[in-house]
Amino acid sequence: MNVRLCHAAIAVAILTGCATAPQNPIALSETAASAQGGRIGVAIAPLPAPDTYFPGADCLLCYATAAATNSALTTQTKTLSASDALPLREEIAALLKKRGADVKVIDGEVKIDALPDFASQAPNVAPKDYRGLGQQHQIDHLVMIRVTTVGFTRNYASYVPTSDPKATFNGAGYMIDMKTNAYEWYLPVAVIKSADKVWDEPPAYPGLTNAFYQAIEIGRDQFLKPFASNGATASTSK
Amino acid sequence: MTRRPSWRRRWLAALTLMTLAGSSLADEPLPRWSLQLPADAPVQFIGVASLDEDGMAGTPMMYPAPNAGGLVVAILTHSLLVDSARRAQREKLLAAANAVVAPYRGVLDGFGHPELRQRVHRRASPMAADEGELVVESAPMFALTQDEKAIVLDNLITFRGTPAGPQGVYQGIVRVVSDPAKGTEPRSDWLAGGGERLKDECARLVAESIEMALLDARPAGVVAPAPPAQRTVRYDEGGTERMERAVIVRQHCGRLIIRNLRGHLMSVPTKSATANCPP
Repeated sequence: MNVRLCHAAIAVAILTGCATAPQNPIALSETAASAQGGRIGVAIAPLPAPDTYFPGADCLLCYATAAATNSALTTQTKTLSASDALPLREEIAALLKKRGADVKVIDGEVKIDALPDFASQAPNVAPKDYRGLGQQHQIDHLVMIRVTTVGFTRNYASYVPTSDPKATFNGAGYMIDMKTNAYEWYLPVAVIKSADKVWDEPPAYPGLTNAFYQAIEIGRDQFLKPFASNGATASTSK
Repeated sequence: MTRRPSWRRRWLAALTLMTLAGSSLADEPLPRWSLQLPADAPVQFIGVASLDEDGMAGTPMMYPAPNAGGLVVAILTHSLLVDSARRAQREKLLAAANAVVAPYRGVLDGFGHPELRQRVHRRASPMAADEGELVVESAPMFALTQDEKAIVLDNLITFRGTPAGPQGVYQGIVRVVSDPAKGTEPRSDWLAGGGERLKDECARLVAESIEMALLDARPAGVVAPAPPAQRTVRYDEGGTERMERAVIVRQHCGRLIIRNLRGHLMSVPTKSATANCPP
Protein backbone atom coordinates (compact mmCIF):
# COMPACT_ATOMS: atom_id res chain seq x y z
CA MET A 1 0.00 0.00 0.00
CA ASN A 2 2.74 2.42 0.97
CA VAL A 3 4.59 1.64 -2.25
CA ARG A 4 1.46 2.44 -4.27
CA LEU A 5 0.97 5.71 -2.41
CA CYS A 6 4.59 6.56 -2.95
CA HIS A 7 4.27 5.90 -6.74
CA ALA A 8 1.11 7.99 -6.91
CA ALA A 9 2.79 10.86 -5.08
CA ILE A 10 5.75 10.74 -7.46
CA ALA A 11 3.40 10.68 -10.47
CA VAL A 12 1.45 13.69 -9.14
CA ALA A 13 4.67 15.55 -8.43
CA ILE A 14 5.97 14.87 -11.95
CA LEU A 15 2.70 15.86 -13.62
CA THR A 16 2.16 19.03 -11.63
CA GLY A 17 5.82 19.89 -11.97
CA CYS A 18 5.44 19.89 -15.76
CA ALA A 19 2.31 22.01 -15.69
CA THR A 20 3.92 25.38 -15.01
CA ALA A 21 1.35 28.13 -15.46
CA PRO A 22 2.34 30.59 -18.19
CA GLN A 23 3.29 34.05 -17.00
CA ASN A 24 0.54 36.57 -17.69
CA PRO A 25 1.46 39.85 -19.39
CA ILE A 26 2.30 42.75 -17.05
CA ALA A 27 2.15 46.35 -18.22
CA LEU A 28 5.43 48.25 -18.04
CA SER A 29 5.91 49.99 -14.69
CA GLU A 30 6.13 53.65 -15.65
CA THR A 31 7.93 54.43 -12.40
CA ALA A 32 10.58 51.78 -12.91
CA ALA A 33 11.16 52.84 -16.53
CA SER A 34 11.79 56.47 -15.69
CA ALA A 35 14.41 58.77 -14.19
CA GLN A 36 13.00 58.06 -10.70
CA GLY A 37 13.29 54.30 -10.99
CA GLY A 38 17.04 53.94 -10.49
CA ARG A 39 19.57 52.40 -12.83
CA ILE A 40 18.25 50.06 -15.53
CA GLY A 41 20.30 47.38 -17.23
CA VAL A 42 19.29 46.12 -20.66
CA ALA A 43 20.35 42.64 -21.71
CA ILE A 44 19.60 40.06 -24.35
CA ALA A 45 19.72 36.28 -24.17
CA PRO A 46 21.54 34.31 -26.88
CA LEU A 47 19.46 34.21 -30.05
CA PRO A 48 18.38 30.72 -31.07
CA ALA A 49 19.48 29.30 -34.41
CA PRO A 50 16.61 29.41 -36.91
CA ASP A 51 14.90 26.06 -37.28
CA THR A 52 11.75 24.37 -38.57
CA TYR A 53 8.97 23.21 -36.24
CA PHE A 54 6.15 20.75 -36.93
CA PRO A 55 3.56 20.92 -34.13
CA GLY A 56 1.03 18.10 -34.35
CA ALA A 57 3.53 15.65 -35.92
CA ASP A 58 3.86 14.04 -32.52
CA CYS A 59 4.60 10.38 -33.14
CA LEU A 60 8.14 9.38 -34.08
CA LEU A 61 7.21 8.27 -37.60
CA CYS A 62 4.98 11.35 -38.09
CA TYR A 63 7.87 13.66 -37.16
CA ALA A 64 10.28 11.76 -39.41
CA THR A 65 7.81 12.09 -42.30
CA ALA A 66 7.33 15.83 -41.67
CA ALA A 67 11.08 16.39 -41.36
CA ALA A 68 11.76 14.50 -44.60
CA THR A 69 8.97 16.31 -46.48
CA ASN A 70 10.31 19.71 -45.42
CA SER A 71 14.03 18.93 -45.57
CA ALA A 72 14.74 21.46 -48.35
CA LEU A 73 13.11 24.19 -46.28
CA THR A 74 15.06 23.12 -43.21
CA THR A 75 18.29 23.34 -45.23
CA GLN A 76 17.42 26.89 -46.29
CA THR A 77 16.42 27.80 -42.72
CA LYS A 78 19.90 26.85 -41.47
CA THR A 79 21.38 29.50 -43.77
CA LEU A 80 19.32 32.30 -42.16
CA SER A 81 20.20 34.38 -39.14
CA ALA A 82 18.05 36.13 -36.57
CA SER A 83 20.73 38.75 -36.03
CA ASP A 84 18.31 41.49 -37.13
CA ALA A 85 16.91 41.16 -33.59
CA LEU A 86 20.27 41.97 -31.95
CA PRO A 87 19.94 45.78 -32.10
CA LEU A 88 16.90 45.48 -29.79
CA ARG A 89 19.11 45.92 -26.74
CA GLU A 90 20.53 49.26 -27.92
CA GLU A 91 17.14 50.38 -29.25
CA ILE A 92 15.43 49.76 -25.90
CA ALA A 93 18.29 51.49 -24.10
CA ALA A 94 17.89 54.52 -26.38
CA LEU A 95 14.14 54.67 -25.74
CA LEU A 96 14.68 54.43 -21.98
CA LYS A 97 17.25 57.23 -22.14
CA LYS A 98 14.67 59.35 -23.95
CA ARG A 99 12.48 58.84 -20.89
CA GLY A 100 15.27 60.21 -18.75
CA ALA A 101 16.29 56.86 -17.24
CA ASP A 102 19.83 55.98 -16.19
CA VAL A 103 20.61 53.05 -18.48
CA LYS A 104 23.40 50.53 -18.76
CA VAL A 105 23.65 48.26 -21.79
CA ILE A 106 24.91 44.89 -20.57
CA ASP A 107 27.47 43.65 -23.07
CA GLY A 108 27.49 40.07 -24.26
CA GLU A 109 24.61 37.69 -23.84
CA VAL A 110 22.95 36.61 -20.61
CA LYS A 111 22.59 32.83 -20.56
CA ILE A 112 19.34 32.42 -18.66
CA ASP A 113 19.60 28.66 -18.29
CA ALA A 114 22.89 29.11 -16.44
CA LEU A 115 21.28 31.30 -13.76
CA PRO A 116 20.28 29.66 -10.47
CA ASP A 117 16.62 28.80 -9.93
CA PHE A 118 14.56 31.13 -7.78
CA ALA A 119 12.21 29.22 -5.52
CA SER A 120 9.09 31.23 -4.91
CA GLN A 121 5.37 30.48 -5.00
CA ALA A 122 4.48 34.17 -5.29
CA PRO A 123 2.87 35.31 -8.54
CA ASN A 124 4.77 37.45 -11.08
CA VAL A 125 8.19 36.35 -9.89
CA ALA A 126 10.89 35.15 -12.29
CA PRO A 127 11.71 31.42 -12.03
CA LYS A 128 15.42 32.21 -12.43
CA ASP A 129 17.39 34.33 -9.99
CA TYR A 130 18.55 37.49 -11.76
CA ARG A 131 19.62 39.32 -8.60
CA GLY A 132 23.27 38.40 -9.09
CA LEU A 133 23.27 40.48 -12.27
CA GLY A 134 22.03 43.44 -10.24
CA GLN A 135 25.04 43.27 -7.97
CA GLN A 136 27.44 42.55 -10.81
CA HIS A 137 26.33 45.49 -12.97
CA GLN A 138 25.17 47.88 -10.22
CA ILE A 139 21.64 48.12 -11.57
CA ASP A 140 18.23 48.37 -9.86
CA HIS A 141 16.17 46.89 -12.67
CA LEU A 142 16.95 44.58 -15.55
CA VAL A 143 15.20 44.62 -18.92
CA MET A 144 15.68 41.23 -20.50
CA ILE A 145 14.94 40.29 -24.12
CA ARG A 146 14.62 36.59 -24.75
CA VAL A 147 13.90 35.12 -28.17
CA THR A 148 12.95 31.47 -27.73
CA THR A 149 12.17 30.21 -31.24
CA VAL A 150 12.67 31.64 -34.70
CA GLY A 151 12.27 30.01 -38.07
CA PHE A 152 9.34 28.31 -39.73
CA THR A 153 6.44 26.39 -38.31
CA ARG A 154 4.13 24.06 -40.21
CA ASN A 155 1.18 22.53 -38.45
CA TYR A 156 0.47 18.84 -38.80
CA ALA A 157 -2.26 16.40 -37.81
CA SER A 158 0.05 13.41 -37.36
CA TYR A 159 1.20 12.66 -40.96
CA VAL A 160 -0.86 15.31 -42.77
CA PRO A 161 0.12 19.00 -43.02
CA THR A 162 -2.76 21.24 -41.98
CA SER A 163 -1.07 24.53 -42.91
CA ASP A 164 1.59 25.93 -45.19
CA PRO A 165 4.92 26.70 -43.50
CA LYS A 166 4.94 30.15 -41.92
CA ALA A 167 7.66 32.27 -40.44
CA THR A 168 7.61 32.36 -36.65
CA PHE A 169 9.29 34.54 -34.06
CA ASN A 170 8.58 33.88 -30.37
CA GLY A 171 9.97 35.18 -27.14
CA ALA A 172 9.34 37.42 -24.17
CA GLY A 173 10.53 40.75 -22.89
CA TYR A 174 10.53 41.46 -19.17
CA MET A 175 11.77 43.87 -16.56
CA ILE A 176 12.86 42.53 -13.19
CA ASP A 177 13.31 44.28 -9.84
CA MET A 178 16.86 43.40 -8.77
CA LYS A 179 15.90 43.37 -5.10
CA THR A 180 12.82 41.14 -5.23
CA ASN A 181 13.30 39.25 -8.54
CA ALA A 182 9.68 40.22 -9.35
CA TYR A 183 8.49 41.14 -12.82
CA GLU A 184 7.79 44.83 -13.41
CA TRP A 185 6.95 44.21 -17.06
CA TYR A 186 6.25 41.01 -18.94
CA LEU A 187 5.39 40.84 -22.62
CA PRO A 188 5.07 37.54 -24.48
CA VAL A 189 5.78 38.00 -28.19
CA ALA A 190 4.47 35.50 -30.74
CA VAL A 191 4.58 36.43 -34.43
CA ILE A 192 3.37 34.27 -37.30
CA LYS A 193 3.83 35.51 -40.85
CA SER A 194 2.88 33.75 -44.04
CA ALA A 195 4.60 34.01 -47.40
CA ASP A 196 3.17 36.48 -49.86
CA LYS A 197 1.13 34.36 -52.30
CA VAL A 198 3.13 31.14 -52.87
CA TRP A 199 5.58 29.55 -50.45
CA ASP A 200 6.93 26.44 -52.19
CA GLU A 201 9.88 27.96 -54.04
CA PRO A 202 12.91 25.75 -53.39
CA PRO A 203 15.80 26.01 -52.94
CA ALA A 204 15.91 29.64 -51.73
CA TYR A 205 12.24 30.02 -50.69
CA PRO A 206 12.23 33.79 -51.30
CA GLY A 207 8.61 34.24 -50.18
CA LEU A 208 9.16 32.44 -46.88
CA THR A 209 12.57 34.05 -46.37
CA ASN A 210 10.90 37.43 -46.77
CA ALA A 211 8.27 36.39 -44.21
CA PHE A 212 11.10 35.32 -41.86
CA TYR A 213 12.56 38.83 -41.85
CA GLN A 214 9.09 40.38 -41.64
CA ALA A 215 8.36 38.28 -38.53
CA ILE A 216 11.59 39.45 -36.87
CA GLU A 217 10.77 43.07 -37.71
CA ILE A 218 7.21 42.78 -36.36
CA GLY A 219 8.58 41.11 -33.22
CA ARG A 220 11.10 43.93 -32.77
CA ASP A 221 8.29 46.47 -33.00
CA GLN A 222 6.32 44.60 -30.34
CA PHE A 223 9.30 44.56 -27.97
CA LEU A 224 9.96 48.28 -28.51
CA LYS A 225 6.40 49.60 -28.41
CA PRO A 226 5.98 49.74 -24.59
CA PHE A 227 9.12 51.85 -24.26
CA ALA A 228 8.21 54.40 -26.93
CA SER A 229 6.60 57.30 -25.13
CA ASN A 230 4.09 57.84 -27.95
CA GLY A 231 3.47 54.12 -28.39
CA ALA A 232 5.21 53.99 -31.77
CA THR A 233 8.66 52.75 -32.56
CA ALA A 234 9.30 55.53 -35.07
CA SER A 235 11.68 53.57 -37.25
CA THR A 236 11.14 53.68 -40.99
CA SER A 237 13.58 51.27 -42.50
CA LYS A 238 16.60 49.63 -41.09
CA MET B 1 12.51 35.51 -63.24
CA THR B 2 14.06 37.92 -65.73
CA ARG B 3 15.48 37.37 -69.19
CA ARG B 4 17.57 40.13 -70.69
CA PRO B 5 17.72 40.70 -74.45
CA SER B 6 20.44 41.56 -76.89
CA TRP B 7 18.50 44.48 -78.39
CA ARG B 8 19.30 46.81 -75.56
CA ARG B 9 22.49 48.09 -77.21
CA ARG B 10 20.37 50.44 -79.23
CA TRP B 11 19.64 52.75 -76.35
CA LEU B 12 22.37 51.60 -74.03
CA ALA B 13 24.77 54.39 -74.97
CA ALA B 14 22.26 57.03 -74.00
CA LEU B 15 21.15 55.27 -70.87
CA THR B 16 24.62 54.62 -69.50
CA LEU B 17 25.25 58.36 -69.49
CA MET B 18 22.45 58.77 -67.02
CA THR B 19 23.16 58.68 -63.32
CA LEU B 20 20.68 56.49 -61.57
CA ALA B 21 21.07 57.87 -58.09
CA GLY B 22 18.67 60.65 -57.39
CA SER B 23 17.20 61.06 -60.86
CA SER B 24 13.52 60.55 -61.53
CA LEU B 25 12.46 57.69 -63.74
CA ALA B 26 10.98 59.98 -66.35
CA ASP B 27 14.30 61.80 -66.86
CA GLU B 28 15.81 58.89 -68.71
CA PRO B 29 15.53 58.31 -72.47
CA LEU B 30 13.67 55.13 -73.24
CA PRO B 31 12.57 53.51 -76.52
CA ARG B 32 9.11 54.09 -77.97
CA TRP B 33 6.82 51.24 -77.14
CA SER B 34 3.38 49.94 -77.88
CA LEU B 35 1.30 48.25 -75.21
CA GLN B 36 -0.52 44.94 -75.67
CA LEU B 37 -2.99 43.83 -73.02
CA PRO B 38 -5.10 40.66 -72.85
CA ALA B 39 -7.68 41.16 -75.58
CA ASP B 40 -11.22 42.02 -74.52
CA ALA B 41 -10.69 40.76 -70.97
CA PRO B 42 -11.87 42.96 -68.10
CA VAL B 43 -9.26 44.58 -65.89
CA GLN B 44 -8.43 42.15 -63.05
CA PHE B 45 -9.13 43.67 -59.62
CA ILE B 46 -9.00 41.84 -56.30
CA GLY B 47 -8.68 42.74 -52.62
CA VAL B 48 -5.30 42.60 -50.87
CA ALA B 49 -5.38 39.42 -48.77
CA SER B 50 -3.31 38.30 -45.81
CA LEU B 51 -2.68 34.57 -45.52
CA ASP B 52 -1.38 34.80 -41.95
CA GLU B 53 -4.59 33.21 -40.62
CA ASP B 54 -4.71 30.54 -43.32
CA GLY B 55 -4.35 26.89 -42.28
CA MET B 56 -5.46 24.85 -39.30
CA ALA B 57 -3.93 24.05 -35.94
CA GLY B 58 -1.60 21.12 -35.48
CA THR B 59 -3.31 18.29 -33.63
CA PRO B 60 -2.34 14.64 -33.25
CA MET B 61 -4.60 12.15 -35.04
CA MET B 62 -5.34 8.52 -34.10
CA TYR B 63 -5.80 6.30 -37.16
CA PRO B 64 -8.12 3.25 -37.04
CA ALA B 65 -5.66 0.91 -38.78
CA PRO B 66 -5.71 -2.85 -38.27
CA ASN B 67 -2.61 -3.31 -40.46
CA ALA B 68 -0.06 -1.40 -42.58
CA GLY B 69 -2.37 -1.27 -45.60
CA GLY B 70 -5.17 0.09 -43.45
CA LEU B 71 -2.86 2.73 -42.07
CA VAL B 72 -1.93 3.95 -45.57
CA VAL B 73 -5.60 4.12 -46.59
CA ALA B 74 -6.46 5.98 -43.38
CA ILE B 75 -3.66 8.51 -43.94
CA LEU B 76 -4.67 9.08 -47.58
CA THR B 77 -8.30 9.57 -46.58
CA HIS B 78 -7.28 11.97 -43.84
CA SER B 79 -5.06 13.86 -46.28
CA LEU B 80 -7.91 14.27 -48.77
CA LEU B 81 -10.23 15.56 -46.07
CA VAL B 82 -7.66 18.04 -44.78
CA ASP B 83 -6.85 19.26 -48.31
CA SER B 84 -10.51 19.81 -49.02
CA ALA B 85 -11.03 21.70 -45.76
CA ARG B 86 -7.92 23.86 -46.39
CA ARG B 87 -9.04 24.69 -49.93
CA ALA B 88 -12.45 25.75 -48.64
CA GLN B 89 -10.81 27.84 -45.92
CA ARG B 90 -8.47 29.54 -48.43
CA GLU B 91 -11.35 30.29 -50.80
CA LYS B 92 -13.37 31.77 -47.95
CA LEU B 93 -10.43 33.93 -46.89
CA LEU B 94 -9.84 35.21 -50.43
CA ALA B 95 -13.56 35.81 -50.95
CA ALA B 96 -13.64 37.88 -47.76
CA ALA B 97 -10.64 39.89 -48.99
CA ASN B 98 -12.24 40.42 -52.40
CA ALA B 99 -15.40 41.80 -50.78
CA VAL B 100 -13.64 45.17 -50.55
CA VAL B 101 -13.86 45.47 -54.35
CA ALA B 102 -17.64 44.85 -54.47
CA PRO B 103 -18.65 48.54 -54.23
CA TYR B 104 -16.38 49.26 -57.20
CA ARG B 105 -17.90 46.61 -59.47
CA GLY B 106 -20.16 49.12 -61.22
CA VAL B 107 -17.10 51.00 -62.45
CA LEU B 108 -14.75 48.05 -62.88
CA ASP B 109 -17.19 45.99 -64.97
CA GLY B 110 -17.10 48.73 -67.58
CA PHE B 111 -13.33 49.15 -67.38
CA GLY B 112 -11.79 46.91 -70.02
CA HIS B 113 -8.25 46.49 -71.23
CA PRO B 114 -8.81 48.57 -74.39
CA GLU B 115 -9.66 51.58 -72.22
CA LEU B 116 -6.72 50.87 -69.91
CA ARG B 117 -4.38 50.70 -72.93
CA GLN B 118 -5.73 54.00 -74.24
CA ARG B 119 -5.16 55.68 -70.89
CA VAL B 120 -1.65 54.23 -70.50
CA HIS B 121 -0.70 55.42 -74.01
CA ARG B 122 -2.10 58.86 -73.30
CA ARG B 123 -0.21 59.09 -70.03
CA ALA B 124 3.09 57.76 -71.39
CA SER B 125 2.96 59.72 -74.65
CA PRO B 126 5.14 60.29 -76.67
CA MET B 127 7.08 57.18 -75.57
CA ALA B 128 3.97 55.06 -75.90
CA ALA B 129 2.66 54.92 -79.43
CA ASP B 130 0.62 52.62 -81.64
CA GLU B 131 3.72 51.89 -83.74
CA GLY B 132 6.52 51.58 -81.19
CA GLU B 133 10.00 50.15 -81.56
CA LEU B 134 9.08 47.71 -78.87
CA VAL B 135 5.99 45.66 -78.14
CA VAL B 136 5.19 45.57 -74.44
CA GLU B 137 2.97 42.65 -73.48
CA SER B 138 1.47 43.26 -70.07
CA ALA B 139 -0.70 41.15 -67.77
CA PRO B 140 -1.67 43.56 -64.99
CA MET B 141 -3.35 42.42 -61.79
CA PHE B 142 -4.64 45.18 -59.53
CA ALA B 143 -5.42 44.80 -55.84
CA LEU B 144 -7.16 47.26 -53.55
CA THR B 145 -5.98 47.47 -49.95
CA GLN B 146 -8.57 46.64 -47.30
CA ASP B 147 -8.66 50.27 -46.14
CA GLU B 148 -9.29 51.25 -49.81
CA LYS B 149 -6.48 53.79 -49.63
CA ALA B 150 -4.06 52.28 -52.13
CA ILE B 151 -3.89 50.18 -55.28
CA VAL B 152 -1.22 47.54 -55.71
CA LEU B 153 -0.26 46.50 -59.22
CA ASP B 154 1.52 43.25 -60.05
CA ASN B 155 2.45 43.41 -63.69
CA LEU B 156 3.97 40.57 -65.69
CA ILE B 157 5.76 42.39 -68.50
CA THR B 158 7.26 40.94 -71.66
CA PHE B 159 9.16 43.03 -74.21
CA ARG B 160 9.32 41.86 -77.78
CA GLY B 161 11.37 43.63 -80.41
CA THR B 162 9.89 44.63 -83.77
CA PRO B 163 11.52 44.34 -87.20
CA ALA B 164 12.10 48.10 -87.10
CA GLY B 165 13.36 48.07 -83.54
CA PRO B 166 15.52 46.04 -81.18
CA GLN B 167 15.39 42.23 -81.14
CA GLY B 168 15.09 39.80 -78.25
CA VAL B 169 12.84 39.09 -75.34
CA TYR B 170 12.72 40.36 -71.78
CA GLN B 171 10.30 39.19 -69.11
CA GLY B 172 9.90 40.43 -65.56
CA ILE B 173 7.37 41.06 -62.83
CA VAL B 174 7.09 44.57 -61.43
CA ARG B 175 5.02 45.62 -58.42
CA VAL B 176 3.97 49.24 -57.97
CA VAL B 177 2.13 50.42 -54.86
CA SER B 178 0.25 53.69 -55.24
CA ASP B 179 0.69 56.55 -52.80
CA PRO B 180 -1.86 56.32 -49.97
CA ALA B 181 -5.05 58.30 -50.59
CA LYS B 182 -5.04 61.39 -48.39
CA GLY B 183 -8.76 61.91 -47.96
CA THR B 184 -10.94 60.32 -45.31
CA GLU B 185 -13.37 58.97 -47.92
CA PRO B 186 -11.12 57.09 -50.36
CA ARG B 187 -14.01 55.24 -51.97
CA SER B 188 -15.87 58.36 -53.03
CA ASP B 189 -12.57 59.82 -54.29
CA TRP B 190 -11.83 56.77 -56.43
CA LEU B 191 -15.36 56.56 -57.80
CA ALA B 192 -15.93 60.27 -58.45
CA GLY B 193 -16.72 61.14 -62.07
CA GLY B 194 -17.47 57.58 -63.12
CA GLY B 195 -14.30 56.20 -61.51
CA GLU B 196 -12.04 58.61 -63.36
CA ARG B 197 -9.45 58.77 -60.57
CA LEU B 198 -9.40 54.99 -60.14
CA LYS B 199 -8.92 54.39 -63.86
CA ASP B 200 -6.30 57.08 -64.17
CA GLU B 201 -4.34 55.72 -61.22
CA CYS B 202 -4.42 52.22 -62.75
CA ALA B 203 -2.99 53.66 -65.98
CA ARG B 204 -0.34 55.57 -64.06
CA LEU B 205 0.75 52.42 -62.22
CA VAL B 206 0.98 50.43 -65.47
CA ALA B 207 3.01 53.20 -67.12
CA GLU B 208 5.39 53.34 -64.15
CA SER B 209 5.80 49.57 -64.11
CA ILE B 210 6.71 49.56 -67.82
CA GLU B 211 9.20 52.36 -67.30
CA MET B 212 10.83 50.36 -64.48
CA ALA B 213 10.95 47.23 -66.63
CA LEU B 214 12.56 49.19 -69.48
CA LEU B 215 15.32 50.28 -67.12
CA ASP B 216 15.64 46.74 -65.80
CA ALA B 217 15.98 45.40 -69.34
CA ARG B 218 19.29 47.19 -69.82
CA PRO B 219 22.39 44.98 -69.49
CA ALA B 220 23.12 46.28 -66.03
CA GLY B 221 19.46 46.36 -65.10
CA VAL B 222 18.39 48.71 -62.35
CA VAL B 223 21.29 48.66 -59.97
CA ALA B 224 21.96 50.18 -56.62
CA PRO B 225 24.41 53.10 -56.60
CA ALA B 226 26.14 51.64 -53.53
CA PRO B 227 27.13 47.99 -52.99
CA PRO B 228 23.82 46.20 -52.62
CA ALA B 229 22.92 45.07 -49.13
CA GLN B 230 19.70 43.34 -48.19
CA ARG B 231 17.64 45.05 -45.54
CA THR B 232 14.08 44.95 -44.31
CA VAL B 233 12.47 47.93 -45.98
CA ARG B 234 9.35 49.52 -44.55
CA TYR B 235 6.81 51.19 -46.77
CA ASP B 236 3.20 52.32 -46.81
CA GLU B 237 0.51 50.19 -48.38
CA GLY B 238 -2.52 52.40 -47.88
CA GLY B 239 -2.70 53.10 -44.16
CA THR B 240 -0.73 49.97 -43.28
CA GLU B 241 3.00 49.74 -42.82
CA ARG B 242 4.41 46.83 -44.80
CA MET B 243 7.88 45.31 -44.90
CA GLU B 244 9.92 43.66 -47.59
CA ARG B 245 13.38 42.14 -47.50
CA ALA B 246 15.07 43.77 -50.44
CA VAL B 247 17.94 45.76 -51.88
CA ILE B 248 17.22 49.46 -52.27
CA VAL B 249 18.14 50.43 -55.80
CA ARG B 250 16.89 53.99 -55.87
CA GLN B 251 15.09 56.64 -53.84
CA HIS B 252 13.22 59.45 -55.46
CA CYS B 253 10.68 61.83 -54.11
CA GLY B 254 8.83 59.84 -51.50
CA ARG B 255 9.30 56.52 -53.24
CA LEU B 256 11.73 53.64 -53.03
CA ILE B 257 12.59 51.33 -55.87
CA ILE B 258 13.66 48.00 -54.43
CA ARG B 259 14.48 44.54 -55.70
CA ASN B 260 12.92 41.87 -53.54
CA LEU B 261 14.16 38.36 -52.80
CA ARG B 262 12.31 36.99 -55.83
CA GLY B 263 14.33 39.39 -57.97
CA HIS B 264 11.25 41.47 -58.81
CA LEU B 265 11.39 45.24 -58.88
CA MET B 266 9.01 47.13 -56.62
CA SER B 267 8.17 50.83 -56.45
CA VAL B 268 6.76 51.69 -53.05
CA PRO B 269 5.84 54.88 -51.20
CA THR B 270 7.74 55.64 -48.03
CA LYS B 271 8.15 58.58 -45.73
CA SER B 272 11.90 57.97 -45.54
CA ALA B 273 12.58 58.75 -49.22
CA THR B 274 12.18 62.48 -49.67
CA ALA B 275 15.27 63.36 -51.70
CA ASN B 276 15.07 65.06 -55.10
CA CYS B 277 11.43 66.05 -54.99
CA PRO B 278 10.63 68.69 -57.59
CA PRO B 279 9.83 72.04 -55.97
